[in-house]
Amino acid sequence: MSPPLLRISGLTKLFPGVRALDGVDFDVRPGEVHALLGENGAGKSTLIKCLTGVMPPDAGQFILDGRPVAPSSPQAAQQLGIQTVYQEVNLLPQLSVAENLVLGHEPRRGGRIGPIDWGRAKREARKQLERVGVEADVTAPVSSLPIGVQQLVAIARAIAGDSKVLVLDEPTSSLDKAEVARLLALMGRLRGQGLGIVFVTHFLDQVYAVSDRITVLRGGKYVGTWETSGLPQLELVGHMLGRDIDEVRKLSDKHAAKPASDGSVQTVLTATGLGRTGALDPVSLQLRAGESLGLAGLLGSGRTELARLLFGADRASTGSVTMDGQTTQWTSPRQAIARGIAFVPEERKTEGICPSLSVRENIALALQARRGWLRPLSRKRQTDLADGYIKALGIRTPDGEKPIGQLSGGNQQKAVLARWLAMHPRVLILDEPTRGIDIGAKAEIEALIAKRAAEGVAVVFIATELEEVTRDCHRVLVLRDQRVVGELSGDELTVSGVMDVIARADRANAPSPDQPTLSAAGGDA
Amino acid sequence: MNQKGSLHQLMTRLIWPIAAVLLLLLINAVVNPGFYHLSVTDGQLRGPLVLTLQLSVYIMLPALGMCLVIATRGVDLSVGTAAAIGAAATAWACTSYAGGAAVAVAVPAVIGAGLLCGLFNGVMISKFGIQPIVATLAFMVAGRGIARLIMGNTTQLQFEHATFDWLGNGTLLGLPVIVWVSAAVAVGVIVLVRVSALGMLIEATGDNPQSARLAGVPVARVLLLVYALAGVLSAVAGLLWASNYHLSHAVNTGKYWELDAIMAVVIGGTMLTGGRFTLLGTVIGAVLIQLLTQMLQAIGVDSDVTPLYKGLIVLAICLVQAPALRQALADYLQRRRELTA
Repeated sequence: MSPPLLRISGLTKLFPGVRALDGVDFDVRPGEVHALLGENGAGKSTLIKCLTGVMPPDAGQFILDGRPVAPSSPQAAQQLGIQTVYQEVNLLPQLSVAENLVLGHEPRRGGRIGPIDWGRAKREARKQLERVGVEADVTAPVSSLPIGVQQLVAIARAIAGDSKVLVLDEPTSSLDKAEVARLLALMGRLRGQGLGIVFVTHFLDQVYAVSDRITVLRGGKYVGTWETSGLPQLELVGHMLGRDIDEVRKLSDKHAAKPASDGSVQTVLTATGLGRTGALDPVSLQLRAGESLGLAGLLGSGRTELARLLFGADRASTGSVTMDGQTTQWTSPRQAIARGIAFVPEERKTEGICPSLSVRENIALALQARRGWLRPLSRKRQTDLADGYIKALGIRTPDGEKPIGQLSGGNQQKAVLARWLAMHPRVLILDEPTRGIDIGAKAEIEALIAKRAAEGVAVVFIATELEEVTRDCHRVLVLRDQRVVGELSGDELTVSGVMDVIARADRANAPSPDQPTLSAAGGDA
Repeated sequence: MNQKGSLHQLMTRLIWPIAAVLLLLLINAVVNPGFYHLSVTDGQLRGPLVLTLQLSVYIMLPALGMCLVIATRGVDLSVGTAAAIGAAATAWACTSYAGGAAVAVAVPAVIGAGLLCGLFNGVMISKFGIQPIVATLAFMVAGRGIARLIMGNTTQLQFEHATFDWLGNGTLLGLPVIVWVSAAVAVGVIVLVRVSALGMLIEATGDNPQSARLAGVPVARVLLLVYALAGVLSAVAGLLWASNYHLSHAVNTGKYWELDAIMAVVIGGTMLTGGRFTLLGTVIGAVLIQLLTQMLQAIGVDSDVTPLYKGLIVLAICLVQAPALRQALADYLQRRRELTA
């Protein structure tokens, strides 16, 4: 076993009120693909930011090739041989491939300030592209290449110098299946050249296709490192979600979900083949009055995408929604709202609140928007509405006039929820309504959801915590890799049941090749 | 309690613009004693103060529209051009028709032309996603040609019309008619925006367009409406200007009005980042800019150099309002207090 190339020890990073990283240790060997996994808030991004010099850690150190290093900036990290390629391609789109590849170290004629030797620059660029298996016109602008090839060019640029560690932060998120296969094959080849690759992704198939070892972080803490070949998927999912498999198996029966609603209840919404290219394979489902439907799956599984399509927040590329006997394709959230659908989005700050508007205005917003600007809600009605919900949901604020941006996350979330409850929706879609809020508020919100369902609202509920989903829902759709891979209800609806489905989801569509070193993908552009 | 809360908020926003107006009035009293001279001629109050009110109209009307546009995170560089088009339509109507017919044609023509200008911007921005500064810049340049075409392909068109002369130069209850008309329009806009729910929907759109869209706010329609309103208000300002000077000019009518309007909005306490806005502040801002212009003229600053001082003073007022600077100042005072204590 080779000595480690990079050792990370005791890495700690504090943010106000949060330990984003709490004494994380692991090492990366030369010639290995090391998958770094974890759910939202696990600390992956923070770790990468510390490693690549974007921000300094509060404690702990990096030992690269036996020497302690402390990259103080991204440039410093690159000089040390730590290169990073991000999800969003980080090239200059208008410049040519060659310009992008030699930028910063252009070959020049006659000294450092001489004119650029373009002939040599192009030859160097071609050599770099060869290394990543791309044949492209180096004089073409980067923006003219397909996104997958751009990603490979970005990698070529990253490994051009004297690189030792290559960090790939969700590099496959925007690639199609063939492009993913090509990238995985390249990772296999680079591993053969002795590079240590840190691979951050939420696609488990890709982890199993290419990685040698897996490190899992959860809530800023180091959970463990395993040889990929010796870690069953079910166990991996358990580590990521913080559930011990055997314990879960034993406990799960106690959590057995509520009896599925009897067949007599009325269907409120039917989605037929609803999908969006690159985000979600077509899904058909029915929402019934008084039933809460859970969407379970890991981050990036397509659960949020499905919720957004049901609400019209994104345009569906296939399929339709049927309500009240009318079949439509939502072109805007307004249509869905007019039919009685409500949506509490995952990103509270960027998609939920209007931060400088008051709590009152935020609560009254959806109702006012539906009435139109010519039929204003009187100030008194707005105040009564806001005060009523502030009291009913226990929103902690001195009064309704405080800008909502100044409230805590949990109270903001309650106010957004109040905005939709004021609409008396028939379908209530909640995307991670309990994320990042304290336990008390969490329980209150869960109780509130249960109450609405009991009153006959069709609830769609997304939560990373499988216990919440199984506890609060009558029926659960399990998603993985942008597809629905299973449906559970009744006695099958347990935490371990959901995890089994996530882990066992058929791997027929998994990206090839399983043997990435035997490069299957060619070098054409 | 709630009402008091928002009144307090409004006052904190308006306190600096009001203080600046008072300061300028004070400075004027020192450097230009004649500034407060008022006389009554032909039943009209005359004097520099009256002139301030009269001339600030051309800043205020476009600025009211600009304020709403800025509240949605946009900007409208074409208000001066819309004014030129409004003036051109007035001149065209008065040279093509006589008497009451001219009025009956001019008023709907001006309002319609302003509406079209604004809708053009609004469609470019809300339907095609063009950046406001680019879309309105294009129209700012192109629209001057339209003004020329309306006037029958001449640069300048003069006209005489009794009703419009009264509108631009007449007197009502001691003050210029133009001031009354503009005040009525301003009150109308404020009532329209604040009594209806439009103000709230505009503020939500500007504060966080994503959240607003997901809450069901018709963001595209809100944008269309504010640009349309800006177009109409500017065209009406153009009509008043033409009535005052008995002419329309394709190049000079409304020249640089967009800059004064933006300044009035910013000085008035509405931030360019969008969201919360105050129309009353904008009205005060417009008066402030006109006061400043007149004061600089009075102390003999060359009119070519005036923009320099205008710019500096606007910058100073904005700095005073900037949270970062106020925080730094507060920290500094706190330290001094601790040191002396």
